[in-house]
Amino acid sequence: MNTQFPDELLTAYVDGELDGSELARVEQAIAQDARLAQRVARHRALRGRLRKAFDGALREPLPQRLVNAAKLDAPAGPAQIIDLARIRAERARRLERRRLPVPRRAAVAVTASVLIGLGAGLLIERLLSAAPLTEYRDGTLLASGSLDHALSEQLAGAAAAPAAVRIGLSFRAKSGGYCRTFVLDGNRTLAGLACREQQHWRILTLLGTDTTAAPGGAQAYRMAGSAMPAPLLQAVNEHISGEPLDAAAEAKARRSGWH
Amino acid sequence: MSGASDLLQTRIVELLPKLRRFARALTRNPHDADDLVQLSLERALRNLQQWRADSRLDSWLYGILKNAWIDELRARGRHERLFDTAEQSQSVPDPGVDAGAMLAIEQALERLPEEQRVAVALVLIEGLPYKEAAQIIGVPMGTLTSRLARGREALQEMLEPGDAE
Repeated sequence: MNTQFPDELLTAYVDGELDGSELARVEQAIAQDARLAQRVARHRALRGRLRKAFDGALREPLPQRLVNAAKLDAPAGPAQIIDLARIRAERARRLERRRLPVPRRAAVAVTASVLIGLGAGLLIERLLSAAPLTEYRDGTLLASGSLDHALSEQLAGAAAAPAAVRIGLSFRAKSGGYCRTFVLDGNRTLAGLACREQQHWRILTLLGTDTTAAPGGAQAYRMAGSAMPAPLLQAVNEHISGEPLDAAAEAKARRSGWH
Repeated sequence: MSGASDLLQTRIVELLPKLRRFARALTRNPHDADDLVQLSLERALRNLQQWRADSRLDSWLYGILKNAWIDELRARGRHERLFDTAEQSQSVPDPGVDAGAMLAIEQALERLPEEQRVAVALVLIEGLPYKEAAQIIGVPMGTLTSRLARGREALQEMLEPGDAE
């Protein structure tokens, strides 16, 4: 490493901390020394990468509760405790109000072929003690967390850790986009069908199946060793255009980001 | 409301997106981040008299947010974690960012010691001058720059291993 230009000087340059003769000296050296320029580029790249990863927060609409919290004339309530536990509890209460109650037994055996509505998110979260795998946005159930990740990244049947997501089959839907079936292993197994819409996986079907009573029989498709539940098979048949993707087509679709 | 406080309120709302970004870098969870921002706003408005009009409003708010986060971490250390651990690693769905790249960066940040993460967030993500960042953290400039250097080195090692000089 060029001892005349230690890393701290170069990062200070990248961070905009230099001025006057020091700035001129570094700029001149970079222009003449490709290795120096390369080191600077690397520091710039890290800065850019970090920023890009978090800049989403700048583009998103502000939640009303934060705008309200910024109001100077908001009733302060001197006895109110200012801590995260309270704010978190308030948020949980708001979420609870938005959710519809789900009959407990619905979690045991869901036979409806399509289960859409706020109850499904609650169902899946109750059944699994894993990270939240779904989220609601504008009335649509979307995959999130490790489910979203698995749908985007995992290939069919790839063995994952226990209590994780397994992908069944992938196919082109009649509407043109890609769809994939998945199985979630928890204390009960959940299976579903998700289709790619813009940047998200929209969950079209979600069913709970008792692992001890997995429907067998003459199903055409098999998902990671276990037979596909009949309602899910029905949903696949409703949406599929042509044949399911083979391994090569699936890998290709993944490379293209499922578009 | 007076014109002055009206203006102040507008400025605080304008800073909200940046405060959310900073909070996300610290918490790596959008829900926790917004809770943290809300808590910081409430604390800030209650202590408005502590803000000196000749100092930067953003630095003052960043400082309150950073302190609230440190308090939270201490509280977590004392008893149970306040936030659901299940929510901990949920990343931010943002159409503009490749999810895999985002996850790699979140995981790398996660592995930094807290003091390096704060320094990296303030300077590399929020783009604050060293002087402001050092004041917010409450350390001398030399301490800030050495935390930054160690944080950078560790991140580069994690994100592009084998590429070091």
